[in-house]
Amino acid sequence: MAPTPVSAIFGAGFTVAVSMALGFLLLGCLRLQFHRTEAALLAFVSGSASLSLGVFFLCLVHQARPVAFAFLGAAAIGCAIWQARKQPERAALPEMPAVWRALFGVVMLAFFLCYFINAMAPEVSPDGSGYHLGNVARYVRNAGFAWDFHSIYASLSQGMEMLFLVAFSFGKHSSAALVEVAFQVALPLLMVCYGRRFGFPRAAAFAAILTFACPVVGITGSSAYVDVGIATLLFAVFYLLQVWNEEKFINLLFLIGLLCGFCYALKYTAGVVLPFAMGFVWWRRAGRRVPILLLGAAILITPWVLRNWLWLGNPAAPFLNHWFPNPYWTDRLEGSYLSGLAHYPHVKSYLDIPLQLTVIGGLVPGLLGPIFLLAPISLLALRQSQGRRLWLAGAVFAIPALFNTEVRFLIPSVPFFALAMGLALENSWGVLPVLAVFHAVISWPSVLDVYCDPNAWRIRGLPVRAALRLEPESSYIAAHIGDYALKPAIEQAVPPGERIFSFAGRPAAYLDRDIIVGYESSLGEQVSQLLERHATQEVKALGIRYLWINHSDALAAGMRSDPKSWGIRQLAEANGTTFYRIE
Amino acid sequence: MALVALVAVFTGEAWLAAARPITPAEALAYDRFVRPPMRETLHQPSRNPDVLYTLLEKRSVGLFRVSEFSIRLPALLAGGWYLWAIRRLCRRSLLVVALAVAPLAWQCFSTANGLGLALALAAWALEAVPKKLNWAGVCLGLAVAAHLPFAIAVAMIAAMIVWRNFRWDRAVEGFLIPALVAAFLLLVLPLSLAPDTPSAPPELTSAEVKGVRAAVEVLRRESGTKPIQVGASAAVAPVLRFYRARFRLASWQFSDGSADYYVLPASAAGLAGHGQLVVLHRDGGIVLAQ
Repeated sequence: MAPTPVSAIFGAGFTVAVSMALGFLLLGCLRLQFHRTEAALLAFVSGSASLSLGVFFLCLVHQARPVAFAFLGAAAIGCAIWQARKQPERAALPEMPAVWRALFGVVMLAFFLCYFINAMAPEVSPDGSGYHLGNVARYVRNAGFAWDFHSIYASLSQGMEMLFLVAFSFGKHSSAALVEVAFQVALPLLMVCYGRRFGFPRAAAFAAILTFACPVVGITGSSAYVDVGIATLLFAVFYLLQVWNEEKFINLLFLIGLLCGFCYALKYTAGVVLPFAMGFVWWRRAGRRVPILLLGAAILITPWVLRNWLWLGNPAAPFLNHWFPNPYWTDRLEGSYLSGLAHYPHVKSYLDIPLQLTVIGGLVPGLLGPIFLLAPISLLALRQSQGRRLWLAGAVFAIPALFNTEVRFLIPSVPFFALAMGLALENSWGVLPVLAVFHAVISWPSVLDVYCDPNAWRIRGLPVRAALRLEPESSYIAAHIGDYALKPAIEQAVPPGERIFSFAGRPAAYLDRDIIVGYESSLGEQVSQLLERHATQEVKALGIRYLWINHSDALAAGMRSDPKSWGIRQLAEANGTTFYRIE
Repeated sequence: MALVALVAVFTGEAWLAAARPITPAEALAYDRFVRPPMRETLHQPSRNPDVLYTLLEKRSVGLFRVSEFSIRLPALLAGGWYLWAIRRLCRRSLLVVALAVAPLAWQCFSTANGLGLALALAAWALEAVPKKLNWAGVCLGLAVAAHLPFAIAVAMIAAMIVWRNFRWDRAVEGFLIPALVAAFLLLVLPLSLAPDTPSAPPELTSAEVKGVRAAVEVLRRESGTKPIQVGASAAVAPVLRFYRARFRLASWQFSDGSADYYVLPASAAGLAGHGQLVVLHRDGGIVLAQ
């Protein structure tokens, strides 16, 4: 059934509602008391961890079906409503100044509409339409994990994909992107709550505007990516650590542990939060409480570790292959993959990097916004203990960016440095609102076009017609993803269950045939080497009868000029790619 | 006496702003940073050292149409503002007169660049200290945005102000941060996008500028309102484009290739590249040819 705007909103809304329900139940079980707004936000993030874990187990037993989600979700919502009846009304946090309330409200509303419309449009982001929703679509087809498909991206931890799976089951691709929008909205609201609770509401509102309007946060959060979700979770962990530091309530540590584990489940690199949290607890002279934190973390980490260990023989797949050799991915491939991620391509000098990250964004790709050139000013916040903590958290959560040069790897540290900037500038009259308005204006999609690189990854407009499906989904996707043009030919020529080889990644989320990508598995590498030797019959013997080749691939010219000598037959060609069958 | 001197200086500056012909630097700044839409001004082959000034110039040209006076109007108003500031700043009439007359030497209030505006803003910053440190900081930040080479002078003034009002928190939060932010807001995009290797055409002499103007007059008479293609050398083009806007010659199209008319420097090098041309007019080292 073709997705509609209503089904997309329902899928995402249902996922968020179940997450919140599970979260309120969890907070109730742990007897944790929060103020009104922060309780809702923390219930959402902690409930999403619970839902992700639940869906993981459903995937294990191949019962990840819409009916199961609907029944179990409705039950969770019912229980949460039942529990809420007994709860006394929660107190509100201290108010934010009226001017800031108005400014924050206007900016939030404008950018929320922009992100919502973009998320509602068919998913066309590279990784979203590639492996994030490619994995989800495969799990939907299998009603659980697909054990016979091996790729580095299938072996990564997929906590967010578990949430996408629930939404996708009802509303397809856009629904999954809307779940990420929910995390995107939760982040600035959490930041504002943090400022209101700890006594700097203006700085927090400023930082929330900086974070929410940040161009790379905008595009990542309105696509089926996981980075903004990670940023929200990391901030929630930091928030709860500060609350625990004041209240020293032991159950909070368990919740913090759960969220740390969920961070690992979202992305390995976010696992850096666990040592951070342990260090913080130890530093506050509560080292003997660390096991409680670890217990919570283990609940979310262990399932993914065990899955990979039992399935692939490597608990940290696709990494640490040197210590856990396995037939699916080698030490050498891992090394070349990681070294490729860690270098800035085409950047002439290190002095260009700050401008690329903040203003130009063509090579990184994406941009944080010119305002972040003022980030060094946040050093002034080191005079305050809050500033020092924020700075330390920002620095620790930026560590993964050393291993991957894409600017979105800096997203987790953006809220912390933005808050530190807010604290540093708070006492300069008029500076915070002026900078906030300036940032919001120059981060608006049509204004970005004026100054950033044309190739910078960013939101490019408001695709209202595509979002409402007034423009057919297929034409919108085809206009943004060249490979989509071959979808009909592939579905016609390739029997279900057959595999296709490609040197480059493809929009797997829109194709229900498995694609073996050259650099994503040992099998892919083996096929690449066989093709370099023109050994197409040996490729066929491996069970791969179809090739999808870009014209820019090294072997493409030979294949196109003399397909007979290769033993292949061209089936279709479009947008610089050709689809072959091995005869 | 001081008031009379101030009025006299302002009148003199106004007369100069209206009467002096356009300079090549003014024409180039107009051509690169005022005439094109905002989107294009950020991607010019040279850095804009007068960002705030060119923004005001754009506004002035939008309100009063293109003319030598309208592009200098922001500088002239800055001159008035400067004179007002020094009157408030100095108690002795002699000093007021000296400070009022000094900028005449650079004609900075009758030239379309940001120096005069920067000077006025710096004077107001000094006037605002120590009571309104925030305001002083904003003025100094805007002074840098008005004329980038003025940054060194601003740094010295800022150091002086911080030294005189030394209390770390107050100096940083009440003065330096507003200055930094004011300059940042205006300069961040133009400077971030400025080319690594700026390029500017060779400048014409003032005689050659007059020659271009004379050529424009002749060409206006020659072609009337009919559409024509005009070719010009890199040095002549900005001045020619200014006069095209000045006289609202919308029917003139500029061409890099073959054209109906050429306005070129009279040097052999200028003419050599354009084959056989019939010279229609020659003045001040500039040739109008067909």
